[in-house]
Amino acid sequence: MPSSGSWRADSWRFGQGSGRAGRAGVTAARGRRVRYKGAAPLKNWPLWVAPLVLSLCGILMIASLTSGSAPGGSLYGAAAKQCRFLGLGLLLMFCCYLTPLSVVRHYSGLLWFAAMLMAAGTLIPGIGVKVGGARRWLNLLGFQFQPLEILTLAVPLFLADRLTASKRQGFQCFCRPTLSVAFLSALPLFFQPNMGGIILVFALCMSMHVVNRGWKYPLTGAAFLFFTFSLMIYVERYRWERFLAFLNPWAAPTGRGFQIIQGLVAFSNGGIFGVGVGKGLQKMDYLPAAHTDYIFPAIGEEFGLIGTLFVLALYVFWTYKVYHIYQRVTDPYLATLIWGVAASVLFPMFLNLGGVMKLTPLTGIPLPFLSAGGSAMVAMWIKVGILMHLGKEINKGQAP
Amino acid sequence: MAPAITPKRYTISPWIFFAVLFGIVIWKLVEYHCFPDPLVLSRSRSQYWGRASVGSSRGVIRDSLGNDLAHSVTTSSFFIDPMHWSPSDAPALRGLVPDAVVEQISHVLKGRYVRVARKVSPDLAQKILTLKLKGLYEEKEKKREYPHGALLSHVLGFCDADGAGLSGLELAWDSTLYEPPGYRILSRHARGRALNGQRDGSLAAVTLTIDIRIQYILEKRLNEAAVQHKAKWGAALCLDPNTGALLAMASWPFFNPSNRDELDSSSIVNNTVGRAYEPGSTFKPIFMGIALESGLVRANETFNCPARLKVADGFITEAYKRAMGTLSTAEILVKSSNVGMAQIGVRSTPLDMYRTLLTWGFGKASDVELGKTEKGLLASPGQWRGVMPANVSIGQGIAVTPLQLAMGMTAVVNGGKLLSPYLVREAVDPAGEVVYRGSRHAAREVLTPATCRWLRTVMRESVAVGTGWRAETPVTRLAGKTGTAQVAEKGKYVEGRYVSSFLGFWPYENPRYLLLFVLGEPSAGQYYGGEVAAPVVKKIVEDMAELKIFGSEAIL
Repeated sequence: MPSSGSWRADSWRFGQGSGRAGRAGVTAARGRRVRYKGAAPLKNWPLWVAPLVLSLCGILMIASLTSGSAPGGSLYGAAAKQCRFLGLGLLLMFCCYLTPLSVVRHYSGLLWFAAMLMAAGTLIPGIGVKVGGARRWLNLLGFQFQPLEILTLAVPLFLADRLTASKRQGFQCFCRPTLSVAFLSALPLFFQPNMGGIILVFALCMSMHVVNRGWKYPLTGAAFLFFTFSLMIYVERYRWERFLAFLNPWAAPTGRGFQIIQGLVAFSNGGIFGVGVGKGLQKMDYLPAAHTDYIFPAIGEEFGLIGTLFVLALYVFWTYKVYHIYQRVTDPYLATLIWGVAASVLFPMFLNLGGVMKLTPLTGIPLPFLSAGGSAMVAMWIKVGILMHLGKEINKGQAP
Repeated sequence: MAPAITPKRYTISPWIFFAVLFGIVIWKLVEYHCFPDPLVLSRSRSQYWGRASVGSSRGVIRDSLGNDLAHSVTTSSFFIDPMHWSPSDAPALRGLVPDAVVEQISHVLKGRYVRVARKVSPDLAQKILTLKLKGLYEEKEKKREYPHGALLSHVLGFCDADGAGLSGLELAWDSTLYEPPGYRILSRHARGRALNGQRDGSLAAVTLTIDIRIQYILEKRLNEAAVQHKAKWGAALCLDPNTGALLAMASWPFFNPSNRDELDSSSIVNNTVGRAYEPGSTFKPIFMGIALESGLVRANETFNCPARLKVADGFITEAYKRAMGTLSTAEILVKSSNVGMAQIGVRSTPLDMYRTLLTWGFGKASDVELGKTEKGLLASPGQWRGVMPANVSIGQGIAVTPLQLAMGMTAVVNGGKLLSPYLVREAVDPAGEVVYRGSRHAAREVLTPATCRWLRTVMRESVAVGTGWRAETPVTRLAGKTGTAQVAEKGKYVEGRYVSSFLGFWPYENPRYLLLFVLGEPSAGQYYGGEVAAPVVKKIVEDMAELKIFGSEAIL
C-alpha cells in the first residue's frame, strides 16, 4: 500500500523537487489508475470543442436576446459581430497552438508590461472610454477593447515564469514576484475603477502562488485582503450599496436590487425545461445587459435547468480536461502555467455566475465564451490555444 | 505498510476549489430553477402581465343624413410605472404636463400607476412619446366629441369623463351606446412602449330623424330672436306631421357639451320637452277641433264678442282690449278672439273635456326617445270651476310642453291621426345588432278629416289675413296660428310676462312640415306672437326653401 496515496497533484510541493515520479503510480487505495508519463496520448479535442459549443450557444442566445429590440442596428447585428469575433478567436487560437512555448515564455514579461500600459491607458481621457462611470475601455486605432482581458492573459504567463525562476523562498518569494505583480497589475484597475478586475487579478496571483509555493502566505494575504476590501467597500458609497444589493436585493427591488432580482426571476421563469428559445420575457428590458453580463440567467429562462446545467457541464468537462493535462506535467513552470491559464478562464466564470446567482457581489465581469463582447472572446480563445499547445507538447512527451 | 509508520501529509489540491464551486453553482441552480423564492415567484407573476383596462367606448350618434353628431375619438393619456421610472427624468416633461405633476414625479413614487396627463391632444402626445422616457406609458382613452359643437346639444346631452351618459340621448341611450370597459391581459415591456388596450371603434350607433340643416336654421333663428327680444327662454320644434318624425329640436339658451366647465344648470334643460308653459292662442285650433267634434260648436255659428266677458268668477279679455263685434266660428280663430273662444269653452263639460285632452296627450309625458320628459299640467276635473273651462279654451290654465302641443297639432294637420313623436330612426348596439327602429305610430284618431280640413283652412286664413300675417311668405303657402300667453305667477297672471309663439305648417295643400316656435318672456317691448314669433317662422321657412330642403313644386 503506498502510503502516499494522496492526491497526485499535491502541487504545492512542485518547486521543492522531491521525487514526484516515484509516487506517480497506481493509487490502489482508491482503485483508480493514474497514467504514467508517456502513457496513452491525451485526447485534446475537448479543450477546444467545449468552448466552441459554448461560443455557439452564446451566439444563439445573443441572437435570441437582441432580435426583439435591435437598437439602431440590423436584426442580428450583435450576433453577427460575435460570430466575427469567434472567427478571429479561432484564428488566434490556432496561431497560439503553433507558437512554441519558449517564445511565449520569452515575451511574457513584455506582454505583461504592455497589458499594464494599456490598462493604465484607459485612464487617459483621449484613448480611454468611459462607460457608466468607469473607464474600462481603451480605444486604440479604431479598436475598442478591455485591457483587463489582456492583463488576465498576461499575468498567468508572466507570473508562472517569475515564480518558477525566482530563487527566493517563503515570504520573500510571496512579496516578489507574486504580490508585486498583483499590485502592479491591479493598480490601474483601482483607478478605473474595476473591483471585479482587482479581485480577479489577486485571485489569479494568489492561486498561482499556492500552486507553485504552497498555501501559507496566500491564506494570510486573503485575510488581509478581506479586511482591505471591506474597508474599500465601506468607504465608497456606491460600492457599499452594491454590496448591500447583493446581500438583500429586496431592500430596493426597483433600485439596486433590481438587476439581481430580475436574474433570479429569469431562472424561476425557466423552470426545468425553459420557456423556449426567443420566448423569454426578461429580455424586455427587465434583465439589464441580458446578452452580456446576464446571459446566464437569460439562458436559464429560455432553456431552463436543462440549459444552464448543459452550459455548466461544458465548463466542468473543459475544466476536467485541463486538469488531466495538469496531472501529466511534472515541470513546476508548466503546472503553474496550466493552472494560471485555466484559472484566468474559470475565475471570471465563477465571478459572473456568483454575481448573477446572488452568491457574490456583482462585478461586471462577462461570462467566458458566452457573453457578447469581442475582447473577452478573443482573449479566452488565445488561452484555449495555449492550453492546446501544452497538451500537444505533453503528448509528444517532451516537456520544454 | 502500516500508515502509522510513514507520517502522512494530507494536502489540498487547489483544483478541489473548482470542484466545490461547481458544486455550489449546481446546487444553487437547481434551487433557483425549481424551488424559487416566493418573492421571486410573485414578482415573476406580476411584472409582465398588466391587466390593462380596455377603455370604454361609445357609439356614434348620427342625424338622418348620416352626419356624425357625437362620436368618440381616441386620445392619449400618460401614466408612470414607478417600478421603471427614474425621478431624474422628470424635468424632461416640464412644459408638457402641469408643473405640479412634474414636481410630484420628481420624487420617488410608490405603487405601479401614477397618472401624468389625461386625454391630451395628439400633438402633445407625440411630443411626450418622442422623449422615450423609461417607465412612462401611454394609455389610449376615448374622448367624446361633438363635431358640430353646440348644435342639438340639448337633445344629444353629454357624458362624464369616463364615457357614461349624463343627459339627453347620451343618457337615454346609454345602454346601447356605451361599451363598458373591460380588461385585456397584455404583456408589459419594461421600456414601456405598448400598453394599448383600445378597441378599434364601436359598432354602436344611434341614427336620428333629425336633419342638421333644419336644426341649424332653427337654432340660428331662435338665437337671433331670443337675443333681439331679450327672451328668457326659447324653443323651436320642426317635425313631419305625417309620421311624427322630429326633424329639429332647438332649445335656447344653448350650451356647449364639449366645454362643460362653463355649464349652467338652467341651460341644460331641453325646453322642447323639459319645460311646460301655457300655450295661449296656439292651443285654440286644438280646442276648436275638439269642440267641433263633440258638437259643442258648429262651423256656421256666429258669436258676439265684446272686449271683455265675465265668466263665473273671472273675466276673459281680448288681447287688444277692444270689441270685435260679431264673429263667425272661423273668424274667432283667424282673429284669435279670446271672448269668442271663451263662449265655446264654457259650453264644455269639465270631465269630458279633461278626458279628451288627456287622450290628446296633454298632462302626460311624451313617448319620445329622450328619457324623462315633462308632463305638463292638466288640471283635474275637480278644479275645472268658474273661469277655468273658458281659460283652457284660450290656452291658459293648462301647461304643455312644446312637443305635446306640436304633436297635438299633427292630428289637425294630417287628417285626424294623433301621432307619437319619434327621434331615433335606428339604434344599433355594440354587437352590430339593430335594437330599435323608430317609425310612424298613430296612437288614435281624434278628429274627422272634415274637421281637420276646416281647421287647416282657418289656419291658412290666419296667416293670410289674420294675426299671423307677418309669417306670410312667397316661398310656400304657410298656415298657422299665433299665440301670446300670459305667464302666471303665484296663481295670478302678471302684466308684462308673456310667452310668444307660432305654430305653423306648410305647404298648406299637402303639409310636410310642422313648426312650433316659442319665445319665453320677451322683454324688449314686443310680445305678441304675431309680432315676435311669426316673422321668425317666416325667416325659417324661407331659409329652408333657400337650402332647397323642401321642393318648390308647392310654391304658387
